Formats: sequence, structure tokens, C-alpha cells
Amino acid sequence: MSSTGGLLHGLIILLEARPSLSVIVLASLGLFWLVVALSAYMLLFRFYHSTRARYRASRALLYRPAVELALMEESQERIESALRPRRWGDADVIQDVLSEAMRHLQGPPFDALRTAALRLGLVARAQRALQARALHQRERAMEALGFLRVAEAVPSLIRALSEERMELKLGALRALAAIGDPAALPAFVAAAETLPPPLLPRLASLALEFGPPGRDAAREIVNRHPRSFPPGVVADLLQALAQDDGGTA
Amino acid sequence: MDAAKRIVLIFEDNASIRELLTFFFQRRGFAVVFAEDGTDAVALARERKPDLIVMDLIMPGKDGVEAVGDLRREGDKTPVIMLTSKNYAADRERALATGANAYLLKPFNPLELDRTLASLLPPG
Repeated sequence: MSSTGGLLHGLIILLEARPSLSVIVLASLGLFWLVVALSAYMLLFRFYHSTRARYRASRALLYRPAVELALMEESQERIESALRPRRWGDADVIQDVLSEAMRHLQGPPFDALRTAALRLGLVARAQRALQARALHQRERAMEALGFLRVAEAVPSLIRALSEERMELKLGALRALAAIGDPAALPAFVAAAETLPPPLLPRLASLALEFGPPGRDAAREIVNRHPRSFPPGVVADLLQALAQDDGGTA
Repeated sequence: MDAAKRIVLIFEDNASIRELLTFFFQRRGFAVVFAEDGTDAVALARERKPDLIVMDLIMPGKDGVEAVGDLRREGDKTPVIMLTSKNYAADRERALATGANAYLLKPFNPLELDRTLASLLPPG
């Protein structure tokens, strides 16, 4: 209201001042070119990102055969050869191809891709990227470390829980849950104090991904923050806890 | 489509998983048809006459268990493998009671899928 009132007040002053025609024309021209510049910037921004996405998609096609080789249970050498970067800047693309495939696989193909990622230095690269300036690079590094199940990354990921940005906190929690090292569970319980209440059920679900060691952490989160767990959510978590107690699905 | 190939009908809305499953089944001599939701499961099964159906549990439109229920009510006896990330006993029991022949978890393990195929289908 105060900003609207301020604007109206300013407009009234301007009209009372009766600016000359030349001032009005200059102001209009200035506004016009500002709009043109903003539109050009937005178009260039969109063009850059769509071109970059198309380029990365085309580069990813070169490395997808490595996933097929892993599914065919080909030799480790062939898989790693298929993943060697062919151009500077492809390491990012390779990491994305591996993350996307490993997210949906387990068993021998997963193990083969993980070994290839370790030998190609992608793990070390992802750990360095945890300190990157760009938010999206840190987020992708966390995701990669989670999918690669890098136990050595647990201390770095626990430190990342102190990130201000919620998406980075959640990325670190998901990565820790994917790695499944019980040493991270105290950090999970502590993270409940800094997350908004609607995210606490998600935190408790992630704790359960640690398997039996995560049950106590999930219970502690629920007991410490009962208001964040409405009956439906509690029923789901109890079902998951019973699942752990009762054995396999 | 090669008439000698067996047909697998995959209901899966995630493009990456579809790609992996497509490669997996094509390598094993299947022709792959896929759909992104279970709404037209009965019509598609009638049209394509698959030898096997792979069904995701959670999909837009109709969920996997409802789609399997529709198929079984229509008398369709095609083997159905439920492939899902939901690891709860209640969902598994519901899917199997509705008529699914197997309940496998995501991320999928090709070895486990191979074993399940061997138990459900005669050698191709």
C-alpha cells in the first residue's frame, strides 16, 4: 500500500510539475530502449541455455553406449574406454550420463559404471565441485557423490548441511541417504532443527533409506517434532518401519 | 516389427527408465511397445497382444495396480511384472492379489529381471 501510495504521489507531483514535451519524449525513448534491451537480454539468455542444452544432449549421446555396454556385461576396459572424454568439457556430460543411468540401476551394471567413474577420476572431480561457486554445480556434485556411493564424501556432505540454500541442504541429505553410511545419521537428526516443518517427513523417509540403523533416527525425528507428522504421514512411516522390522518386501 | 519376436508392453512414465528397459528387452529379442500411463492398458493389450507386460506402480492417469485389475477382469492372462520404487509389503501384497505375477523394485537389477523373465516365460 505504501509503495502504491508513493507511486501515486510521485505521479501527481510529476503532473503538477508539467514537464515539457521534450522531457516526456526523452523519458519515453529511454523507457522504450530499456524494454528493448531487457527483451534482447532475455532472448539471448534463452538462446544460450537452449543451445547449451542441445549441445550437452548431443555430447551425451556419445557416452550413452557405455551404459549399454554395462547392461550387456561387457568388460570393464570397454566400458571405461567408452567413457573417456573426447573433448574438453565433456567430464560434466559424462557425470550426468552416469548419474542418470546409475539412479535407475543396481547390480552388476551399476557396479561396473561405478568402478569406471572412480577410475576416470569423476569422484575426485565431484568432491572438488562441492566447493564450486555456482549453486547448480554444487548440487550436481552432491547428486553424483550420492549415486556413486562415495563413502569418503560423507564428511564433506555433512558439512554441506550447513548451507543456507534449502536445495543444497536437501541435496546433501539425499546424497547421504544414498551412500547409507550410519555415521551420517546424527547429522540427519540435527538437520531436523534447521529444516522447515513440511520437509521433516521427507527427512524421516530419507533416514529410513539407511536401513535398520535409520529406524532410530527416524523415530527420534518424529518424536522431537510430532506436529510435523500428521496421521497419514505417521501411518506411512510406521509402515516403513514395520517393513524394516518384518524383513523384505 | 519382426513377427517372430516376442512383444513386451512397458507402462512407464520416466524416459530414462524406458530407455534402459527398451535396451534390456531388445537385447533379449523382444519388440518393445511402451505407454506412459495405465489408462488404456486393456485397449493396448488387446491391440498389441504382448507376451509380457511391465508395469510401473505410480503413473499419471491410472496407477499400475488398477491397470492390472482392469486387465484381469477382462480375462487377460498376460504375465505382468510390476516394477516400482515402492518397497512396502502392503503395496506388494495388493499388486500380487490383483493379478501381477511378480513385484520387482527400482532401481532395477538386470539379473533379477532376467531370473523373473525365465520363471514367467518359456525360452524365446
